[in-house]
Amino acid sequence: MHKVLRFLSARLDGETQGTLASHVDALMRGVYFEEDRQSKNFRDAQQAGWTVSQIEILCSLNAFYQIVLGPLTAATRSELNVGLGRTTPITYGSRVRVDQAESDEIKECHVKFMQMIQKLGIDFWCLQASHSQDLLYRLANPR
Amino acid sequence: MSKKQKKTWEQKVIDAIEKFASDYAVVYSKKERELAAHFEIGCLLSLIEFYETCGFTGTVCNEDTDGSYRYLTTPSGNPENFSYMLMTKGANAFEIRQQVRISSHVAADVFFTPDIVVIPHKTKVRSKKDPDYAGGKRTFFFVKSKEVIAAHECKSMPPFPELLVSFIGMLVVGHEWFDRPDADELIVEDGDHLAPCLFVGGSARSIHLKMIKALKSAYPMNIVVGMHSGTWNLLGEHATVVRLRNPLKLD
Repeated sequence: MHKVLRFLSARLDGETQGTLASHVDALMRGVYFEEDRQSKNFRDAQQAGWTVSQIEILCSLNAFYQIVLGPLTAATRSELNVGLGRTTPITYGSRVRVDQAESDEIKECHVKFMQMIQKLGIDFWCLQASHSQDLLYRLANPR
Repeated sequence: MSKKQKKTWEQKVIDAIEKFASDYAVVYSKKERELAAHFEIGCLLSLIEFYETCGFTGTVCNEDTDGSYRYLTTPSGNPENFSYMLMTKGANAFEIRQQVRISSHVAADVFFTPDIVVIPHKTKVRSKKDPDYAGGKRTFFFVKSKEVIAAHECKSMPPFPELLVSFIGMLVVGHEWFDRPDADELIVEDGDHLAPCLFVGGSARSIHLKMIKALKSAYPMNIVVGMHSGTWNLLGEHATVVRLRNPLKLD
């Protein structure tokens, strides 16, 4: 597991850590496959300055966004007239409560993450790619 | 005096992530089930927003004693004991509920539970005890597929062809109106209802987007992808959702 993913997942439960690791493994298997066959996208991504180690960082961030931050932020996006999830909190079982305070915290967390990603020069699309080929294509063809 | 070494990009990322994790791990560290719950709640809110944009007014019904929306998380609970959304526009009133089991018209023993279901207001939630369900000790709650306007499913994962195709099963089994020869006439540009929708968290590859477009042109249904990345406004500028008039009021 890359240091980046270790830091991000240190306080997550074992099940989620496992899901994150599997997600990164799946993406990296695809990257190694493209490396082995020296595909055009892989070569172009390399020419654009991306190393396999750096791509593993992107895969770790992709996993974190797709499995943790994206789903979590989902519950905070809507601004409903009826106020559900804000003035009227939502309780989902005994552990989940979505209200104004929680939404604000998650939103701030999301904003900080996105600002950090932008500052590091990472295209948001890299966090959305669901396949290594798409990721390599984006790295090979920056916007 | 030695020159200070410039940080590599990797080191900059590691440092930034370490700081981010230290500042926010307490906010985002949730169990897998809790993350899935947030996604499902997000889909529900997105659906309510769709209806509000279509001119409906939402009311939270059956609130908990503390005024919160008590979300039904499993089909084993009695829907009557949990909250639901009542959406109204003039005389048009229906309910948005979670985890309500549907008894299918295709055969007596076919039941399934979508994440979200839209049914007319005051639809009776039926109950029975089945010896094959929890040894006949627990009550089995359900509505009939002839009472279902739309069943929606939420999947917090990347889209893949088998997932997309499998939603057709839910469409066929969960909506009696789908069997009507004039079901095509339900689709209207300004329809009040979102056609049965598969909400998917991950973003789609171009080949999957083509497949989704093809499925939507073949069936009265929606597949909305990229929910993790902000596809929340179902009626936004680039939205192309299929809308229906009330399929239970065709005649």
